[in-house]
Amino acid sequence: MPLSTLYRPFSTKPHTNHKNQKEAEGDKRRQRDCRREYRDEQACVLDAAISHVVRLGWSEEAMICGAKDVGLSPSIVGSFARKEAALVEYFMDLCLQKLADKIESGLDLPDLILSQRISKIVRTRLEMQIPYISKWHQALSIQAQPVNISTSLKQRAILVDEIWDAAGDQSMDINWYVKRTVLGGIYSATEVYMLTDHSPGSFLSMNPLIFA
Amino acid sequence: MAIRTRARILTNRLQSMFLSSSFLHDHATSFGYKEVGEEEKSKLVGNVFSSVAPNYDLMNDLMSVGLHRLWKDRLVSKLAPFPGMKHLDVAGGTGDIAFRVLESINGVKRRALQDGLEDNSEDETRVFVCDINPAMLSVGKKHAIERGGGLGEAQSLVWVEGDAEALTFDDDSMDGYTIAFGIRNVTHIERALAEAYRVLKRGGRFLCLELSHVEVPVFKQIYDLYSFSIIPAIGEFVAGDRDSYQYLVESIRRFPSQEKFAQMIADARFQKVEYENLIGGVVAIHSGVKL
Repeated sequence: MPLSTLYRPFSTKPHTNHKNQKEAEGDKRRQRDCRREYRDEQACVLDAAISHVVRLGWSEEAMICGAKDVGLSPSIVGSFARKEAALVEYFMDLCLQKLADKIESGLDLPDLILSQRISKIVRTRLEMQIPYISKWHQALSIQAQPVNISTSLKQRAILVDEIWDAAGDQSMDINWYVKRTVLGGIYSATEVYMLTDHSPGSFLSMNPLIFA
Repeated sequence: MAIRTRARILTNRLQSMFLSSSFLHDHATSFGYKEVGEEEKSKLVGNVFSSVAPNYDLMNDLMSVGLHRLWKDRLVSKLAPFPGMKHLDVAGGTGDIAFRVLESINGVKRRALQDGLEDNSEDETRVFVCDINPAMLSVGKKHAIERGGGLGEAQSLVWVEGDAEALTFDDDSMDGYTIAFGIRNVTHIERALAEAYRVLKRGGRFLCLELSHVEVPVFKQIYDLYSFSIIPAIGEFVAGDRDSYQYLVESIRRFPSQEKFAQMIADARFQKVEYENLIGGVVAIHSGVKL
C-alpha cells in the first residue's frame, strides 16, 4: 500500500491564507452547517441500519439497507470512516443517551444502597443490548480491532463515568480513577457473560457474585 | 442582523467566485505551459489522446513504475462498490476503473453481500464508461474482450462517447462518479464538477484520482527532475511522441493544488470533501458526497 495521508480541509486549519478574519469566520460557519448536514444524514442512515443488524450483523450490508430505507444512495456508506465501527459506535452512543434519559426520568435510585444502585443502572444499560445479543460478539470484536479500540475505550470510559455519577459518586481523589476502572472491568465481564448466557430471564436475576 | 449576515455571505461567495474565476480562466486557456484559446484547448487535448491511445496503458506502467495499478485499486476500494450500483466512470477510456468496479462487485465477498440483501430485479449493476475520445474507448473495448470473464459481452458494462462538461445522463441517476487522471484535461473544470453533481443521486459519491502537487522538500526536486527529463524521453522512445508527454507533465504543474481543488469541489455543493495524498502528493484522491 503506497504511503498515504488523509486530509479533511475543512476540519483543520482555514483553507486559505489571504482572506481576512471576517471572511474566514463566514466560511467557517458555512462549513460547520454543511458538516452538520452530513452528520445528520449519517446518523439517519446508521439509525435505520440498526433495525437490520439482527438479520445482517454489524456490517456494510446492514448499512446499505439502512441507506436504502432513508432514501439515500448506498454509496454514502463508502464515505463512513471505519464503516462497521461507525455503526457500533453509533449504537453505543445511542444507548448512552437512552441511559441518561432513563436515569433522568427516574430509576428509583435514592431508595437503594450503593451496590444495588450500580447494579440497577448497569442492568438497565445491558438490557438495551439484549435484542442484538445474537450479533453482539461481532460488535465486541469490531470494537477490539486496533484501529477502533481507542474510540471504544473512550466510549466505555464515558459510560462508566456516567454510571458512577448517577450512583452518586462524589470522590475527587485517586478513588475517582479506581472506581471507574473497577466498574469498567465488571461491566465488560458481565457483558461477555451475557454472550454465553442462553437461558431466558436468567440475566435479569443478575448474579450477585459479580458485585461481591 | 440577518440581512447583514446574508450580505456578508453573498460578498464572500462573490469574492471567492472572482478569485477562482480568474484561476479557472487560466486553466481553460492553458495547454501545459502554453497559452491557447478555449475552443482550441479541447481540440489539442483530443489530439494528444488520439495519439497516445494505443500505448496508453504501457506508458502508464512505465511512467509510474506500475504504481498506477495500486492507485486505481485504492480509488475503487474507497468507492466501496455494491451490487445493484449505477456507476459512471468519466474519462475512463481504457476501462481500468470500470473493470475494477465490476470485479469488486462480482467478487466472492460481494456475492455474500448479495445473499444478505434482498433480490431486486430493478437493481442491476451498471457501469458506464464515458470518454470524449473514440480512440480511447475502442482500446477499452478491446481490453474488455482480452480480459475475459464475460466483460466483453457484459450488459453491465456500457461504453458511451460523451463530454465530461455536458453529460448525456439523467439527473440523480448515478450512485458513484469517478474520474481518474481525466479532470486535468477538461477545459472547464467547474462545468465537469457541476455535471458530476447533477448526475449523482442523493448520497452519491464523487471520487477523483489525479496527479497532484508534491511539497515534501527533497522528494519534490527528484520528482520534478523525473517528470521533466525522464518522462518526455520515455514518451519519445516508446510512443514516438515527446510533445504529448511534455503536455502531460506541464498540465500536472498547472493543475490546482490539493486544497484549491478541494475548495472547487466544495463550491460545486459537494459535502464531506476530503483528499488523500498518495506517495507524498504525487497522486491525490479527492472525494465528496452529494446530499
